[in-house]
Amino acid sequence: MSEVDMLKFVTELNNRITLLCEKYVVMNRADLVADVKAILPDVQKFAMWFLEAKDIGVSEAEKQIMDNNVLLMIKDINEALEFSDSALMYDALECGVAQYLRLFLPEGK
Amino acid sequence: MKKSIYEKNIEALKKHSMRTVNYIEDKKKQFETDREAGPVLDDKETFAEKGMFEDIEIEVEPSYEGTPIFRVKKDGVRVYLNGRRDPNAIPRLWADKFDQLPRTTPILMFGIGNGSFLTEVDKKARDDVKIYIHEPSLKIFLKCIEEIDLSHIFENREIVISLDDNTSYEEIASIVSGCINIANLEFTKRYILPGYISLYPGEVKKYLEIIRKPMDREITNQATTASFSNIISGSLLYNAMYLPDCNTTYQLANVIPRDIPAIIVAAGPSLDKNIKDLKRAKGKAFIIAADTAMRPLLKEGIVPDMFAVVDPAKPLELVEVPGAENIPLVTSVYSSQKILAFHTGKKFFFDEGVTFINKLFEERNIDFKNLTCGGSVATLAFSLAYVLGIDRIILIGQDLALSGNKDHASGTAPGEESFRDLSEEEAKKKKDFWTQHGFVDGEIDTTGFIMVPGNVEEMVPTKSNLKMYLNWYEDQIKGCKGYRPDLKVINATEGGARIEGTDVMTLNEAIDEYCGREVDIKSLIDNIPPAFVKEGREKVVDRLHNIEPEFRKIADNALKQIAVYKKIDNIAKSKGIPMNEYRKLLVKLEKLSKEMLKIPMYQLVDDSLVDARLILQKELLLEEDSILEEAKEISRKGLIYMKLVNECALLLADVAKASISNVK
Repeated sequence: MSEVDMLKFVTELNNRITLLCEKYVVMNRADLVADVKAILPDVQKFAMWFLEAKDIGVSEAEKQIMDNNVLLMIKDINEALEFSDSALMYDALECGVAQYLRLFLPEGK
Repeated sequence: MKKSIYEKNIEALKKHSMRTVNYIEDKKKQFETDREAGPVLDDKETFAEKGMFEDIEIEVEPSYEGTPIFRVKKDGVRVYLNGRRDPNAIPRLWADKFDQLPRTTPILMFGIGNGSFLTEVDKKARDDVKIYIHEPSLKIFLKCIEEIDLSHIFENREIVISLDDNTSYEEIASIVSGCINIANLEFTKRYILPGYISLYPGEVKKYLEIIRKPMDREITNQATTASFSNIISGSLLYNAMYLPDCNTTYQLANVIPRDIPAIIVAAGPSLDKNIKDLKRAKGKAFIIAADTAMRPLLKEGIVPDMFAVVDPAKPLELVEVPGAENIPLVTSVYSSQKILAFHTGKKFFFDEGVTFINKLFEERNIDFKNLTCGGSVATLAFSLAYVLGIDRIILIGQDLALSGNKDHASGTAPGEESFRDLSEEEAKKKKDFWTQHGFVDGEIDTTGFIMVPGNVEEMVPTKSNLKMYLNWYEDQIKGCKGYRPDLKVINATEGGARIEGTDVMTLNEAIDEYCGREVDIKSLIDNIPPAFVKEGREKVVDRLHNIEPEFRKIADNALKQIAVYKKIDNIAKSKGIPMNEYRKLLVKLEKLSKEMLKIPMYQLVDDSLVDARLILQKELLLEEDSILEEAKEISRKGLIYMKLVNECALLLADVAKASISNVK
């Protein structure tokens, strides 16, 4: 994927996650697990890309830690799916995936 | 010895939540006793075991940052109550703007979880914000207070805790009713903690239904009062002229036998089916009709023992039928003045919290009791029958739904024959008038209506106001049966919505079963003397004569307050506020205000200005940033409100002059 395409992909995915998570928090009865199923393939795509990425401007040791975190996010997402656990899903997406997505957005986004 | 977290929390809970502490300690003792007694029973039906042996597992794990979070397994569901990465993310977001919540705003929480939301609320919200926690699981609650130190919050904040096991949903509704009012309704916060929807879906649904009712009721009450405020005070003063010769519902309790049934006749469309059967019950039951049922009843030659009116806006034409004027009437003091003027028979009033009227009875040691109105004449009639001690109450015409796409019985409004002699334009005006009052000619399109279980049909369409009355009946019947288990409410409507707690049968079956004894109700009521006699009556008349001067006193007081507010306004416009002078003016305002509040007729002025009062109440909950800003706002709002008070008091003085000042 080109850099431009990547930026577009990351921006869109971040926006979608943000919207769904906001809906979950604000509406308080939304079923986040049901809502996010449509975006999960893209979340996995981002995770795969991140794990395979070589040079993202961090040291090898830091990259190792971040890779482990990403694997944990995917594990939590799968667990949340299995048990329809919206709180766990929110945490994995908003406090996990979205934070990593935002690393690649221009400052201020 | 260092106290455990549990001990610290329990100690702190004792300050504001003794009932919860007592309940927990009783359950713990029970648990220890049962455990010592032998193996755990398989049958978990007993109440004592339910809380302790609730079939859930709670695991405490560290989050990725080390704080304890709960994972709960119940009925095949397994969820976290917090996130692993940032356990406080959602609570923090929810509590983000809580520092802007006005005084005494209620925050309703379903679930306590690991206490993280409570902690965030405590950090942000001011001390006098009220927190109400309903926790459906005693086990989760115990786990929370065993693992998380919330003692500083329990000690310093007034938190109302209800646990599913020891608090009925009616009590929750009562708690919520007590804390919510129209001024704080828009600020009230309500949260279902993460995970609880999955674990307790039925309880969440029930909780939301329960807390919505008092909120809806508050809005409805306010809307009703607001829409009627222009006529309420006017009607009240005109109707006060009947007080010297009135009767009270309490007097009925001494004469109406309790061993005969009461039949409440409402005017739902199903009344058409069985109105003729009611003739068999005459003389063997206490028949109370809603105002809208009067026309169809009298047309059939059935004279009820009493009828009820309560709505200030009901048209006279509804009851203006020859003979109706002499039938004893149970009435609100706010009822339509035209109906009360038309009516010449005995009028039975009840306590509606109108201070000056209550005092008339108190000062003469006359019992004057209240009735739960329920918002309609039929519900008022039901309440009357119940407080009279009657244990068999039969409902007819109480559809609370549409039947055959109609919402009223035939003949409740004047029929076509009434318009025959009118011109086309006049006839149209009359028809529009009845439509405006809710009597729609022909069938109603019920698309989009709420569907509820029926007595005869499986489901029937209903409107939101009728659904509210349906809920009222169900709550009342449940509550009343709690006090009087022998009470039977028979729904003999033969149609309409099913009312939980009633026995369904036809009117003929109900009459066969319950209407055995004959009794001359008319004579019993005719022989009830007026509530006020001789000297008592004279004093009541004197009091009524003094009402006009009181309104004029209120008007004068308002003028004085306006003068003070103008001084505050001048001060506020200057660059610096001389604090001594400002304080003196505030003290003077307080004094004048207290004097005004002492004038009994101020209540009527206040009731008439409900919209303005609402604005003022809302503003009082928000505070200004500086003394200068505060002074400006105080004077601005005070001037607006006191001008209204002055105008209103003068208007009411004129109404009093025209109505009760010449009562003999």
